[in-house]
Amino acid sequence: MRSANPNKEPREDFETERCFSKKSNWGDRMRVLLIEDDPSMARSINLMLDGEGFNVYATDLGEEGIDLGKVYDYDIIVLDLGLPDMSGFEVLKRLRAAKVRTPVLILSGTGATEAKLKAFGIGADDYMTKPFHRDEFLARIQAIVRRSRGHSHSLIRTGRLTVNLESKTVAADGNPVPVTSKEYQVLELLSLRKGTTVAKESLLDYLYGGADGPDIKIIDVFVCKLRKKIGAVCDGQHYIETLWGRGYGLRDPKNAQAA
Amino acid sequence: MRVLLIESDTTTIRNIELILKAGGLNSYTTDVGEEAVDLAKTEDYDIIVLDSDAPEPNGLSVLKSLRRAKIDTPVLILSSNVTVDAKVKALSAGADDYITKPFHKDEFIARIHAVIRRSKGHAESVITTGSLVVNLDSKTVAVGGTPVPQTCKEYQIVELLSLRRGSTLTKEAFMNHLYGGMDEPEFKIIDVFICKLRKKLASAPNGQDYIKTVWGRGYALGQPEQRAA
Repeated sequence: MRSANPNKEPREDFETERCFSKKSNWGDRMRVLLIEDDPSMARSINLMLDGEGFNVYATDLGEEGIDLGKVYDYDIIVLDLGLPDMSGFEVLKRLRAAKVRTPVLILSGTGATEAKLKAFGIGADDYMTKPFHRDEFLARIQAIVRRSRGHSHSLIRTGRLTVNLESKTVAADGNPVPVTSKEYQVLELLSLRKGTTVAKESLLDYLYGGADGPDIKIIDVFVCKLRKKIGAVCDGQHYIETLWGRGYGLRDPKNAQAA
Repeated sequence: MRVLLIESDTTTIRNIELILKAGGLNSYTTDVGEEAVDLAKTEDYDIIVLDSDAPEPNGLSVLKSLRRAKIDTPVLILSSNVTVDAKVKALSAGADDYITKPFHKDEFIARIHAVIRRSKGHAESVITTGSLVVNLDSKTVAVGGTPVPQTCKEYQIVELLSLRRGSTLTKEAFMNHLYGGMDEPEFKIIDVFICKLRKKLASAPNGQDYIKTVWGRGYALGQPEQRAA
């Protein structure tokens, strides 16, 4: 079933839209929790989502929605504001209070700005007014899920060593390894090009941007210091290999430790 | 928070700039075109507001060229085109939200905040770090339940640190977010603000020093999980 197009616009290029939504399918099936009490609305949303290959779990009670949201890992929660047992705002508040970080899309009969502001204020990710169009609904869901999945801290692990590109820190077995700014930059470039060989010239360029750099020997000094620091916390292993005449490379340990 | 506004109509520019300013957002406006992509690539914006009403090049192609250039900054589309077709095309091409004109200024600001919050990995508009609580909605800071009054600039710093909790922010990043490249004072001002903030946060009951100095790189807000590990 398709909900009525509120804009009464002729839509000749319906085919293009279908292509767009087909293209953006995720490897695995997307899991949606639908909290909606109106049975005919719930059925039509279910059909929309199912047609797009999403797994839908529906409930008509806010209380049950909160419990499901807490226990299972959904990609998105679609929440109706008018529920029989409690208001949608209350459901959203209690979900966020329980540290449920799943994105929430609000469906509502009212388009009042106050309601929208309240919803966004307590942690909604989007707000749609009924009646809505199927294609816009699906496109918005995909935009939210894409953004919420896109956030990940960039960590590069080598043996017991972890380089966090986000916080610009180094850790061994979870314990921070104090490195200076330049040492970090050396390790960062080595981590980014892990497995390959990085020429000393590239490292010098990366550290000093090509302008007024010191002598190239400084790279050897930094690598030496890094090896000592890493070796001290990783039982003498430092993961930085010397490739004679070419440069340095970061390698995973050959015989992976049983620990 | 820092906004890149891509807009070519002069009256709309003035309107939106005023709305953004009233919402406590720093904005920089540029014309649709090549410059927009270059700016988004080199500068660090929290969100891009793109008006897709310009005739040539249209908003959709600007959006596509942003995403093709591997720019991951969230994009909010402003448009007077209310058709589902336009919305679906924009959202599928990588937009994060789509607002039709005319819009209510409060909803516009609320949606910007919601998109930025999600893009930084926060589900709530209240960010809690240990006993430090930053409310992005009411723009207030509290430690252990006691409100800690902040000046406008101090709040902006603590907000930025909370949104990017765990990552190190350079002084340059602070300058860009606080002053948006205009009439910048010296870099040392950041140290002054951080010093004042630390004093305020530490003087609250159960207060402690949340802001870490990362030598040679900048400042960071410690994550309680990491501290426990």
